[in-house]
Amino acid sequence: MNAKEYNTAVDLYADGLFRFAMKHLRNEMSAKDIVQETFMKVWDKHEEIQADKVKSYLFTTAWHTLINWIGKEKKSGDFERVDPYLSSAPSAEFDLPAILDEALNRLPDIQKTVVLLRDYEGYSYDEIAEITQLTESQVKVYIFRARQSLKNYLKSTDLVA
Amino acid sequence: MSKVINHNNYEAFYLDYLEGTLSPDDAALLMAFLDQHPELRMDDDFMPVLSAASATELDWKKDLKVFDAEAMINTTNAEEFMIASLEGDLKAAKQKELDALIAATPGLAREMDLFRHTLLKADPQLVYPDKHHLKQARIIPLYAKFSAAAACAALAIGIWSLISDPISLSNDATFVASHFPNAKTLKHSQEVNTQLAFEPSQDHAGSFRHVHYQRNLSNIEKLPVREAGELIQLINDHEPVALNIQLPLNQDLASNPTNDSKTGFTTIYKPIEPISKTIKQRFDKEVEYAAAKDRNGNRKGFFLKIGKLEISRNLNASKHESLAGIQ
Repeated sequence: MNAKEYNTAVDLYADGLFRFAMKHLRNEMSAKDIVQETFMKVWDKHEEIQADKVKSYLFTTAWHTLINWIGKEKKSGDFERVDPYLSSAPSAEFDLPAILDEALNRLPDIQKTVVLLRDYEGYSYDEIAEITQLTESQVKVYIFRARQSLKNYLKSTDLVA
Repeated sequence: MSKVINHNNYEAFYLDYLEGTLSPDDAALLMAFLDQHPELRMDDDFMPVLSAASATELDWKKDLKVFDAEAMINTTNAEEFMIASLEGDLKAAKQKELDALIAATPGLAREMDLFRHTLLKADPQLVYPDKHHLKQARIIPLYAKFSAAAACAALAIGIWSLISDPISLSNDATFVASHFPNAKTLKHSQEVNTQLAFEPSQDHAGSFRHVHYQRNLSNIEKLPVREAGELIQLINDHEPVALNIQLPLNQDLASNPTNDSKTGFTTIYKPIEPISKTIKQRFDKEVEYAAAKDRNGNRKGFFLKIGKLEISRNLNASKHESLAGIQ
């Protein structure tokens, strides 16, 4: 991958990676750091990466960076995913995106990851398995559980007719 | 599978457990083993939910089963088929079967509707704010630091090889005296005396000339120009009365060599060019150097390319003077 292809990848995938990181961390600064670190790591190896594989490589790198980040933050005890806007309780009004966001935030990280890769990026089971280094069966199980949890949360709010 | 779980085989049990293919009895054995060896337990995020609370809430045995896409759809397994439908994994026949069950069973339509709402949609307003910071041009400076260092090293090696082999420079007065008995001292400035001795190359005609010189080292820092430039400066500025030697100068040495018929000396106006050519030969890389000047003739910047490495710089006014002596 040359510099031009790398810069094109920035244009194409930086937003998706940012949303992916934001949904995990719920903190804009931290999410930006993850995206920057991801792209720096990818640039470091740009000569080894084929341009048509860069998206998968980016999300794989972002996922590993996120896991390391979350692990370190948890150990240091100052893990803050709280964003005042995002952490506000669901409104009594019908605000499905906010409710879903809250439901998503309650999922374990691995479930959140697979369902985000599935819905936001449209990845197939085997692509998600490759990114997260799970088996395809595991990916299906986690997506199933994530959908169940999300549905149950929506149901509990009684806001969805 | 064996009913004895130990350090050698627990991973296989673990994998089957995670994939939902482990029998309940073996799963119980695995849990007992992991209780005894908690260090082997994976992070919670990778584990199926098996906490005491959730175990009472969920039929965890059901979790261990794999989804059978060919099974008859009923109210017990409808949820699995709804999710499969949502994911686009259902065959047409099974989709019809599910639709029929949903239509016939009160409450399932709402469940299906809730599942449809679990499809996440990316917020197009949520974008990375400064993409241009991520682009290659912003990352280059770090890389360029190393490149510049490498270029400087290559240039230094090149210059060293240039002056150490085809052109010899020496500050050793004894060496100069013994090898060049005709060496003369030239007055370069008020403070600096430089002793020069020239002789044609002994290697082969047309190669670089050998130059040996010796200076008063106590005043060396007062020289206004660097090594290569200094020699040229001395040749240009002084009457080389005692050194009337015709030097066999290769045309490649300089772009504009001129022979002074009175003194027999050749003046090199652009010493950078022979240096860059020597580097090119030594490293087998393309070497280019170009300097820019402003209207007043002051140096404005330079461009250096060695192979794929390119370095350029604009010089501010304060640096013009410091580089004035470098040709």
